[in-house]
Amino acid sequence: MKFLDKDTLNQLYRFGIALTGNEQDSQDVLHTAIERFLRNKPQYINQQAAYIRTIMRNYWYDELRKLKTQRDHVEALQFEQEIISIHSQSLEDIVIDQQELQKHWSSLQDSQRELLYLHCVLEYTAQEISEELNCPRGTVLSRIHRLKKQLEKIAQTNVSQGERS
Amino acid sequence: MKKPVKQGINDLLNDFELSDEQLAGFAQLEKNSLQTNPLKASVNHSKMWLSMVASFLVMGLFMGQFLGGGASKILTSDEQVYAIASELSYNHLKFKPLEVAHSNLNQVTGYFNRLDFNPLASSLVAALSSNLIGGRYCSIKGNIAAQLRMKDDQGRISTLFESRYQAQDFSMLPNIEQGQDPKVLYVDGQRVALWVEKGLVMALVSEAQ
Repeated sequence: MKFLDKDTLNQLYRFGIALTGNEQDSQDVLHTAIERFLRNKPQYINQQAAYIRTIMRNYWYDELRKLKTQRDHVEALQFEQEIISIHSQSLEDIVIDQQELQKHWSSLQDSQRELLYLHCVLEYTAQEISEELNCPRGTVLSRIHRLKKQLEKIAQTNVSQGERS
Repeated sequence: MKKPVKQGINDLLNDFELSDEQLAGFAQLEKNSLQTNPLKASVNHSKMWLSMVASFLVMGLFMGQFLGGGASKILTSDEQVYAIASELSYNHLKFKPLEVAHSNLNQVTGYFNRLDFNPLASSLVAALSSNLIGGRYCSIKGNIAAQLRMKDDQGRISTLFESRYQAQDFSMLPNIEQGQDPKVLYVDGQRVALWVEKGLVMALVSEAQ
């Protein structure tokens, strides 16, 4: 492709999987986003991958909004304003079993998987994530904090199960 | 095997990769886009044209208001039908991935639990020699709809769209149960037939013969 090479497309596809939780929806969301991107004069867009990620995110949350069963979940994400007093949070010191991670991957919320992608794959700081998601840095830190607690719980459950057996 | 979360997430996601077929699909998407919207040679030229067009639009709007033509244009029923046919033809040609792939209508319709209606077999489509291959969600004029994709013996693809009948959006369409014939239009080289049947809006898009 002229604008998007194979690596970029694969990265966007993986972002889609992190966002939606499955390959089918990821392909669908990516397809729609690329179409919209191409319609919007891509030659004048500087950060093309970030631009496409924004389209994918907006489209996916629009789709979720259409699903009445998920409405409360999406609204909770959008209006989340809880800020707790933490200055830095890192997921790097958590060690987890790969199989456990795979097992719990789909049970994480869409926003949590997206956060993991931005933090662990793109290695974005909390400030960069807050700019990409257009939400306060404190909210990002609070989400990382909660995610860390959740992952620690998964890791510990696995340890205690291992000790019992 | 235990590893840091960061590495675990990377390993988990790196297992996923677009197939050659999917990559070719995106390349085709870009090729089509470039054919319809060729790149402008110069940014300055496009900016100049943009400002000229904007000026004419402002002047046009001002003149329209001044001369008493301020009301927005109301589409005639023919124009409304054409707009629906264009939307459906576009959806048919986009050939988005199926969300459910099955040749049994009950299996396919069972998938559509987000609809506020029950997709049905149409008396007009039953007469065709096409076989169902699957379906996916879509919309018609902003109303949620189902699209059922079919393939005939010669490998030609057609799409049957179904949505709940809403008078404010679809009253211009013929009702075959009142003895009316489907409305047939040709858009983008596709034959689009539209009708109302069993309280549903139905449309069949296929290659023009």
